[in-house]
Amino acid sequence: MKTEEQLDQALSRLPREIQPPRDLWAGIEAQLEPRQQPWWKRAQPQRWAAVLVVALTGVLWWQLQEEPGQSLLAVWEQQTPEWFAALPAEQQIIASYEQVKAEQLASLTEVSPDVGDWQYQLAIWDQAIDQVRTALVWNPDEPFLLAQMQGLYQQQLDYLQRISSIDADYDVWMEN
Amino acid sequence: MSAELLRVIQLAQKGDRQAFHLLYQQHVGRVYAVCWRLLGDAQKAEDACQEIFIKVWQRLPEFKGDSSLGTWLHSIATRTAIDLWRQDKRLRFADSEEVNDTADALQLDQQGSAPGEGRDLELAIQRLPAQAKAVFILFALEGYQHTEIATMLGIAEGSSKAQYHRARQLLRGFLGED
Repeated sequence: MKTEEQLDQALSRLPREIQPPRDLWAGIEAQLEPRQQPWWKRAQPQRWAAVLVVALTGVLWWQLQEEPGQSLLAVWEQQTPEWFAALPAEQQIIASYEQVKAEQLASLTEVSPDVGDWQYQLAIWDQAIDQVRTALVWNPDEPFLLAQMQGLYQQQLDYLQRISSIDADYDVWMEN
Repeated sequence: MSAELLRVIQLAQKGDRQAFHLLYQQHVGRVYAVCWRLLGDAQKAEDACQEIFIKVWQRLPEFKGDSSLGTWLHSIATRTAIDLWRQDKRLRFADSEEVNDTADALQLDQQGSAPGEGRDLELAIQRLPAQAKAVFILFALEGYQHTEIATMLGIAEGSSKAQYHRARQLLRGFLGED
């Protein structure tokens, strides 16, 4: 090679890439450490949702103390819908139905003896709801399970509604 | 940066190894080239390559996309290879026989070049004195400026330029020996 130009030409023809004689990926992959997530991301979302629901209930309870004439549900509805919408679907269902259920139970004064053991009946539904929640831990946001949980809650509410109406009829009958 | 590449980077940043494997496949050739040329030894180049990709994996969450991934990744590769070259040059000079064997194994001749030309040039580069070789590889093959090379090697910019010209003279001499 006699000239600078010849050297430059030879250099320009050298490859910019050289493949290693063997695949190095297996050795590299074996040494890759799993990514460390920040602590707030490591907690399970269900646990955070539960914490949020408890916190919200506390806030609502405090607001009720401030405004005694207002119902809990009304206070609930006053909360920003975006906040509520940000909760996982499972927690939205639980929060809304449990609230209504609590109100219905609170409004029950005297239950007709004709109804039977209504608390046992409610406990059976609660047990079924717990089983669906367990299944949701393994299959979060599964639409079928969410619908099933919603259906069970609705059955509970319908049952409570029926009990309270029997109670009312009983009162009316007694008055007459 | 294409949307697809961006998605792959984001997945790798979150810890997706398959996505990182794609990035490895895309860049390993260029990373291995700088390692092999600086270290002059296939085994050391492989070890360096592994170290570099492990570093890239560790630092990938810091990559914000200010430069291209290739530029960012290659900067890590070059600096790591220089660190290893610096340690290595204290220990020994590259064994010329070993370099010959590696050059054969890598099939360094390229299309468009005279038979043996690429291989001869690669071997001639390996015969250069350590610092002249590093400066030459970084300037002529990796595209760094003398100011950058001076910083990376811890020498004056003038020294980098002088080493480069010396390297060219030596190369012309080595290649004209036949």
